[in-house]
Amino acid sequence: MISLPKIWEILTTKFHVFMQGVGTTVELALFTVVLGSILGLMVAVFRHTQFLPLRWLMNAYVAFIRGTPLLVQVLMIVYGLPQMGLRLPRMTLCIIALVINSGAYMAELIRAGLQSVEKGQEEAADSLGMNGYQKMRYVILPQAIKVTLPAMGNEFIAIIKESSVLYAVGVYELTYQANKLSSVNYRYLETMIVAALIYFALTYTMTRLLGLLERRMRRSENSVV
Amino acid sequence: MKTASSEVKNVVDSGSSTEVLVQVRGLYKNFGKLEVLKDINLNVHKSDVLVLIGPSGSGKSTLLRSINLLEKPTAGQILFEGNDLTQASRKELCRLRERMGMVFQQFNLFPHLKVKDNITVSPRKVKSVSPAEAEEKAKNLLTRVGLLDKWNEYPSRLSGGQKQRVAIVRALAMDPDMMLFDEPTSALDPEMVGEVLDVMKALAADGMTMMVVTHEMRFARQVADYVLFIDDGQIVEAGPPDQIFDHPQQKRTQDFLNKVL
Repeated sequence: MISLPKIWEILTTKFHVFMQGVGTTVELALFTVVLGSILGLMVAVFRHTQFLPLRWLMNAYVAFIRGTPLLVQVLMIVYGLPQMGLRLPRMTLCIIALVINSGAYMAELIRAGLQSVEKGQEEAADSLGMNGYQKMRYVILPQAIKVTLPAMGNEFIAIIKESSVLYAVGVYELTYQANKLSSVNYRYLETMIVAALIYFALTYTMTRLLGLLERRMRRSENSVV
Repeated sequence: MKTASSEVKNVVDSGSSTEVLVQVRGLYKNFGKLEVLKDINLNVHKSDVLVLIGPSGSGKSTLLRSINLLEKPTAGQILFEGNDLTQASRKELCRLRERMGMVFQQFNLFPHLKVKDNITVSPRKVKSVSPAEAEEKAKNLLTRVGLLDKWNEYPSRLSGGQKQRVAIVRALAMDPDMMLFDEPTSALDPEMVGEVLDVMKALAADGMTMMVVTHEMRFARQVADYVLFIDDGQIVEAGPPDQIFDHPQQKRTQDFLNKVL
């Protein structure tokens, strides 16, 4: 039987335990979205260059990450890097794994943004004597990023949820904390419902915030772009 | 080299006594199996205004876009002030393009930048002109086209005619030796064509070297020093506007003019 009072009791008495997990989850997600965006941006730009080996390498990276499970990637990095002698804090290894994963998805998003910029923009920049860097930096990228921002927000929400796989490598994020609690109180259903509600509160708030931001951007776009 | 043999051929020459700015030699352009340009040979003299007319799909835009290498020729040479663009390194190509302004049918203003930044971004970033100097020049040019009040606006707030005038100013801000116009009035509402043509006329009167692809025959007749009729990838007939418009020699030219005039 599911007990509603029990859910309330777990939430109120163990609030600090969940909040500890929320802190870790949000920290992971923030680091990942920021560093992942930077990595994705670099990868997307490299995929745009004329230097073919670099392009192939980047394409291979994106294809590999998108074609393999996140959990496998996490296990490879978190246990694999120390095995190779790279001893880093567990949290750092987890962020590396998430960033490598998210960077590939971000690269795809940014690539779509780059492709959405009209060809005439590039021609105008060419005709003004801009070199490849100037063209990218001052003309194409600013327009591409603007198009990509909403999708990057969704990626942030996805990371909040997907970071739950890290419970498998013993990082004290939200899912790990909930799992630990329920293995003590044997109230798996109620405890996980609390965890799910907290995840939902996080992602729903983010969705609304991003929606607001997007509307504001679109409004300025009507007058601006 | 190749130049020697192509010199023998008929080179269309805009004919002024000024020095030659652009030389096109043996220019071919294929898109896949389609031959868009076939053996174009052309001299453009400084301060001349060349107007390229012809049916759509004739290759006139491709020829214009080949001049600053937005289209890469399949064969042949484009010499600008004696430098062969087809052999230039990427860096040299940028330096040469700085000196050829271009105006597009669809304006291609940078939508994320205000008018002032549209105009000053390339002088500042490409030519390392100081912000103050770039802005002063931009203001002067904008005043000349009557749009100084749009200084802080984004392009989306401008009408088509205003956008195109800003685009012309953006190109002029680089101090080009030559201007290329690719159907600059074709995307405009009829009532806005005049304001753009007026700017171009003033530019021509100032002695700017210009190549213009247009369907505005009246403008061609008024402003052109030399008119090229292009059809099927070749310069079919070329000469001063009076000759082309009043006494066309070629049947294809006559047919085309009968349709558009």
